[in-house]
Amino acid sequence: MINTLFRFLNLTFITLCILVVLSFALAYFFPGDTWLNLFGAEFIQDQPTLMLVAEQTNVLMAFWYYIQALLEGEWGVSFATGNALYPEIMRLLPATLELSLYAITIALVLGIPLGFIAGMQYHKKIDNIFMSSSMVMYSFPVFWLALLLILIVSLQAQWLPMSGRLSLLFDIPHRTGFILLDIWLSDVPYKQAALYDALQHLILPTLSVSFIAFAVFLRTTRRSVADVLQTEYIKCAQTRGLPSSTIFFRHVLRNALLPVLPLLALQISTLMTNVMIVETIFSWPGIGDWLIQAIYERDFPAIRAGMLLVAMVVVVMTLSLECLSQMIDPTRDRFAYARH
Amino acid sequence: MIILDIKNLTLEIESNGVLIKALDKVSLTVKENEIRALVGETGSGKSLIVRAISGALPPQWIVTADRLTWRGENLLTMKQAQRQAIMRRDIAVIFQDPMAALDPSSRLQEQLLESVPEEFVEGRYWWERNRSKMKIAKQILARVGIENVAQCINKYPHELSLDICQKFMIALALISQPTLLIADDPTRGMETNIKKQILALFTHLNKTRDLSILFVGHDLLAISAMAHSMTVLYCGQTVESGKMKALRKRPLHPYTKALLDSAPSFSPDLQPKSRLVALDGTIPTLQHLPIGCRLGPRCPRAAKECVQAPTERSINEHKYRCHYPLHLQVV
Amino acid sequence: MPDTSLYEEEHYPTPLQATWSEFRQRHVAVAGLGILIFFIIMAILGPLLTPFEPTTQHTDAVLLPPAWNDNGSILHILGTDALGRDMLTRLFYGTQITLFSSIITVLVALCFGVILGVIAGMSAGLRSSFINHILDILMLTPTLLIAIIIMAMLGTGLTNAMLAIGLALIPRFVHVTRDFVRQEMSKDYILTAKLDGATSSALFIYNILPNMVERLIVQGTLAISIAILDISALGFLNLGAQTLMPELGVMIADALSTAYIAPWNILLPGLAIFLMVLSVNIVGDGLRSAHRNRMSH
Repeated sequence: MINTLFRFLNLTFITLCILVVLSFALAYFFPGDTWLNLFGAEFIQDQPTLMLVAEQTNVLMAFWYYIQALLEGEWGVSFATGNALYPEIMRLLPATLELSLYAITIALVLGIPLGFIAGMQYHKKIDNIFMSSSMVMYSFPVFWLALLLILIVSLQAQWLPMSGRLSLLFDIPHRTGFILLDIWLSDVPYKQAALYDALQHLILPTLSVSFIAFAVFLRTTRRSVADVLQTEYIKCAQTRGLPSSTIFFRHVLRNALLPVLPLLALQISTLMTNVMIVETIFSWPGIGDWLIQAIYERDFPAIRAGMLLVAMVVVVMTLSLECLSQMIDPTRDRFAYARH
Repeated sequence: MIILDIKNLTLEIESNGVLIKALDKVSLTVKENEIRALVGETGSGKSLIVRAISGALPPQWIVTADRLTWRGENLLTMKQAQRQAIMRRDIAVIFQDPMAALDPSSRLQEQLLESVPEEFVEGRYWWERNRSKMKIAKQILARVGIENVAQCINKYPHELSLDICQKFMIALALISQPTLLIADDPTRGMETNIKKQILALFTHLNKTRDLSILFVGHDLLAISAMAHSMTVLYCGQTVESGKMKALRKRPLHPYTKALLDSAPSFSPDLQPKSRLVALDGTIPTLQHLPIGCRLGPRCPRAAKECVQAPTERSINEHKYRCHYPLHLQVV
Repeated sequence: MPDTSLYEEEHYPTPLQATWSEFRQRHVAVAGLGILIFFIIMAILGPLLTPFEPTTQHTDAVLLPPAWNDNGSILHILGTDALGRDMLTRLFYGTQITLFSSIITVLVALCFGVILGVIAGMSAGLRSSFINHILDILMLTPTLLIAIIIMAMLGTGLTNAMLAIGLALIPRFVHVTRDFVRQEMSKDYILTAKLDGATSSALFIYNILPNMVERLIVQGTLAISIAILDISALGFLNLGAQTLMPELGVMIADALSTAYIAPWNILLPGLAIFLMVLSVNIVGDGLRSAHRNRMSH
């Protein structure tokens, strides 16, 4: 188990290094002056000697300065606003994380049990209903789904709001960045109403993202369950006469879930893309919306910083999920032993 | 006393609109305390018989039989729950590949403990019951001949060798104290010394614990030393059955003779470069089954009458199905 | 002439034929294939059949609803948009652009992916692990991010969007190829061919590739559906096809401002994308099941 942990840490470290190298290299590839791209105008003005030195030395020294700057929290300055980037993206990140977290949770909590039910009823009526509806569900373009929801729910029926995180009437101080947590922790007199309002704002964006993720999770789980039910050891257990509840909870559950976890980890990147698109539609103040605005404005330092952050978050989340699934899997060494 | 009685069992499946008889009027009996061998080539339908008895056939198969009874009760007409109860307590099955038959993600200990029938466990509280289950489990494991029990029991199936897994499967089968043990080619792919161990274990269990065994396989040499009686199966038809000694001394069906002759004998007076004895041809596929006696195309004694399936005749409990058995002259 | 054949000829279908006959037995999959063929025909022939051009603005018929609505006119069957452009024509052209750009992207990504995968699968050691690392990172980053980077470097436009999506799709094909090649290299029939003196490229072309074609087709259909969704998403965000092109995502973005008065301008292009993706998914799923059924027989 320690081996897996070491391998995971090694892999994550190498991947992060490659990401940092990439984000450094992009400064050369993006249009505009390299040094301006890298350090931002303000930084340059504060450190004229550093700039002279950097311009005269070679790429490797510049890279070394860049790493130093990153670690200090100096991620550059935005072209458009002139503000430091790091505090800004750190302020916006929790919003995106909150949306993705809720969406993944809903998709998991609904998708995996229903996937189990579908797998156990393989090729029967319930399974066919689930299969066809999940296929329809994940064929939806996420932006069209969000727009449909806005059209029907917000504009036509006027049940839920169509943009933002919280109505402007409420003023909640920014503490963690997670809106529900912040409302809980703050001591404003209208806590109940604010919570209710925040939930209302959360529903549509979360629904748009989790709609598609749920369909994918359901299909993956169902395929895994159907495969497990065909295996020799389940058939032997049934022949031995073990009660079906024992077979299900002890054998099917574990063996079906273990291969599913790495597959679900791969869905995180698609989920992130969908979250970013949904953020623009619902004007949800998160990293995705900010990044897309940055590219409209050709704000290159912002793009680089945002890309680095999002890539790092996704990579760390995916790799840690894969590492976790490998660590709890007892059959990971299966192929290390000799075949008889 | 006969405990398992199968008479004229026929298994049919539809393929491309035609009904194919995979098993054609198979008959088999197992008496108490007897080791019966069911011998046949690959593709003769041995595993199908095992699955028909245990009820694990996919629903596409059509099962008809004059008699398929366990201790007098008809297995085909009884309720599902009763049949499952019989499978759980009285009949135990061991399969070919022990690694595939064990759950790869749980330790041997858990798999053994969950198979202990409730009737044998003493104690009221769960820790007492667990302890009693462990005791029974350890006893059984020692009886099958697994040495360091404490070490093996905590491992996963893929960490152990094939023979320990197979012995574990036997222990798993024995834990409910069955009356009949059906072994579906349990020693396939094993080295000879391990094969000998497993077969010696079977003989030992048969003698000491009054266990009847239905041993399905194709290794004549090994089985003939161990079994009391044998049924020979060819391409879904039983060709001969009877006591082992009688079959070995005087086989009545050409196929049985060919099987017995084909087992290599390393006697010192064997001529160099002498041919190995075997029947010409191969076993027919399900799509091209010969009519009548299915050995017809390959049999050296075949004649016009073999186009009709022979009926079963018997001499002193030595049953055979042949128009031209070996003790009669062919004109 | 009397039939003198005593022996029945056994007709064993090739693997592709077997998969196709399995596929044909699933009616839903065949229906999906029918819808897909309809879309392809619409994309090829549609622009030849429409009376209008996609960019001409009929200033006298702005924001007309579809013909079945009271205010609509039969001249513009599916209505017009805010600039008076005929919706049906734009749908035809849009399907053409979206569908063909996705197919081209996937084909290019497939070629590159297979080549890279073969190099990664047949070699071992430092070279393959380096390729693996880079590709894993590519696979883990969200496609939108890759698109943003490419946009920033090269500017916006449909071709750049196709490049970005293609880059994001290559790792999938590499994974499939590499895993398959590794699996097959340890099998005995490859060993036999090697002992017969086959070079690596001959091994690949004659032994491994025919077995891989089916898997590639299945992955390819999955990739086409992803490509359609991503290209239209990038068009919607104005990062891909720009406003002048009648691309389906761009049409939805254009219709946002008049969403309340003219919802069909959002519904119809989105419905086209949805049906295209749905039919590709149905076909891909049918192929996958057919392949699995064939392997299990």
